[in-house]
Amino acid sequence: MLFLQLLIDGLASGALYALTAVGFAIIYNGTRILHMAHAAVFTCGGYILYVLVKLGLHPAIAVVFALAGAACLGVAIDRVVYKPLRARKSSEAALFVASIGVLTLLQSVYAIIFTTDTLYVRQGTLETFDIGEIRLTIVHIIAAGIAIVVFPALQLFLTKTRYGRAMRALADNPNLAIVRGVNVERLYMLIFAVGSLLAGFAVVLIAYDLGVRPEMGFSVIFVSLVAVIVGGVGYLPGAAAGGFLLGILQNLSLWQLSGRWMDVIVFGALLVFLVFRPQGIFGHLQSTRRV
Amino acid sequence: MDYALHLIAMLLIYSSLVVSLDLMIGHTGILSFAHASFYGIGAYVTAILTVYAGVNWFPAMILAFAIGGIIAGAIAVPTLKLGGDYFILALFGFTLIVTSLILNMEWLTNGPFGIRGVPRPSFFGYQVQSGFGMLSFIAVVVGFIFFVHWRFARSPMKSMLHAIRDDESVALSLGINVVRTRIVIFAMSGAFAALSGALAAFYFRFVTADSYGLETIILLWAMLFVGGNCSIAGCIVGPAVLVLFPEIFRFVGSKNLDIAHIQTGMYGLLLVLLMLFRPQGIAGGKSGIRT
Repeated sequence: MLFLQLLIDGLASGALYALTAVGFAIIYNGTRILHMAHAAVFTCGGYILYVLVKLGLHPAIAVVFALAGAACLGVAIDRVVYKPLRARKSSEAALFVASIGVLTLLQSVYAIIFTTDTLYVRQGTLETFDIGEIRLTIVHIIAAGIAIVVFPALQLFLTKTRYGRAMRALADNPNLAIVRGVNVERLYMLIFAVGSLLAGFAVVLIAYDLGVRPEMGFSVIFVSLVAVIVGGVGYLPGAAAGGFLLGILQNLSLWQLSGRWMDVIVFGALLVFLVFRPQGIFGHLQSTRRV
Repeated sequence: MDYALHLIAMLLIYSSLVVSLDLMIGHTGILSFAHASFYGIGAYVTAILTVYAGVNWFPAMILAFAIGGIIAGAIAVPTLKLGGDYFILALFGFTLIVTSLILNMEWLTNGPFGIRGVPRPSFFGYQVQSGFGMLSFIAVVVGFIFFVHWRFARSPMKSMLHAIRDDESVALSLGINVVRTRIVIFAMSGAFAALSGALAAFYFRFVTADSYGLETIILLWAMLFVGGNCSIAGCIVGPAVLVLFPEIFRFVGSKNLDIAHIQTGMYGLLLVLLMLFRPQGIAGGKSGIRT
């Protein structure tokens, strides 16, 4: 029974990892920026939710603002920092260093405004539903709901709409996309908005479940990054599958080991994959241009 | 006066770390995120050997140097064949695993409490006690590290590394064994970082996992890029700016607890501004990595 409970917990946290992983992968595939500041965008959504709920706004409206805020911050980082660097034809190293700088700066800003304590969005305990011996929380159910709605919607957007197809074209072959008349700068805004929005979906649930801390984004984003690699870079369903896999792996490890070994397990998985199968579970070597 | 001595000692230890980081990032173009771990490994090896095993300071320091080099070489072999971003992530995973192991292997490292009471080095029965004596000891070792680096910067090996960094295919076609050279540089850099770690252990007489994690690596990166990579002057200017810069707050008289966060935020802001306006750093020349 414990096994089944941990499996369900793993699926729920896996759904959240999958959301952030796919968000990160959209940005990474489209722009080739190792966007570490994604962690700060993620955390920003959590703090917006916290502030608005404390101000007495209805949680549903607060969630909408949190999602919009995350998307705006993602786009703003691209406009203010990455765009000038692109214009100067900076190397990937410079973009990466700048990204780390943005992350460090924003995390410190959160710590200065909100202190480093964990701030709780909800009062009281989570609503739970018992089915036999399995206990489902409201977070489990909403996570499943979001995953079931968001992923097919994203798939439709990427395959059926003009902008979605342009995004995939840019990820696949930037030069060809430009030749075919894709407006790259405008598309970058869209890419950052969509990627940050997906992180927003994950953070509102995590903030509701566990509260908000300045460095909360960091570990989640790193697990997502590992998920992207485990699933195969360049293949979005792979990133989602990687997220689920790591969520389940983390929770099942609690069965035998204590929680403090979680980092070792996730990054051990990363090292194993990087050494033995760098293209990921579903990846093809052709699609991972930089391996 | 004691305080000035302390600042100089900090400056020297950080400069020596930045020198070995520069060997990796500036000269070889390997964006290493693992440097703080090698620093930590050096400090912990020294502390464990001198406090628990009662080893004399000099063999402990040599062993720290050797173990740092061996671990760096061992981690380089499987990861260096990975390209760009994968490699950054692999080293990131390595850093988190090292931190996690230090915290969890209590029988060896005393877990989160760290190891206290590292003895000061002694010469011919005379133990270094005063701040000034300790500073001279550090200055000698750091001087040695700088000397090695200076010799290196005038050697043919440097040109070889720059060739590999700037165009791997050309380097290969000239008959340079790219992979082996990189592994050697990685091991060297790790060994020297571990030596700096041994110095830190002797100086602070106390090691704890907090001092060798992500914040340290971001600080080191900031120091390297502020000073300018591929430049011995840069390896002194960068640490000088970042060690002395926080002192401004001391004289402003702000006793707020937020100072640590303001400092970290400033490092982040500095990194972003540098990448935008002066990517080669304050004292960097034209021979650095392409930014």
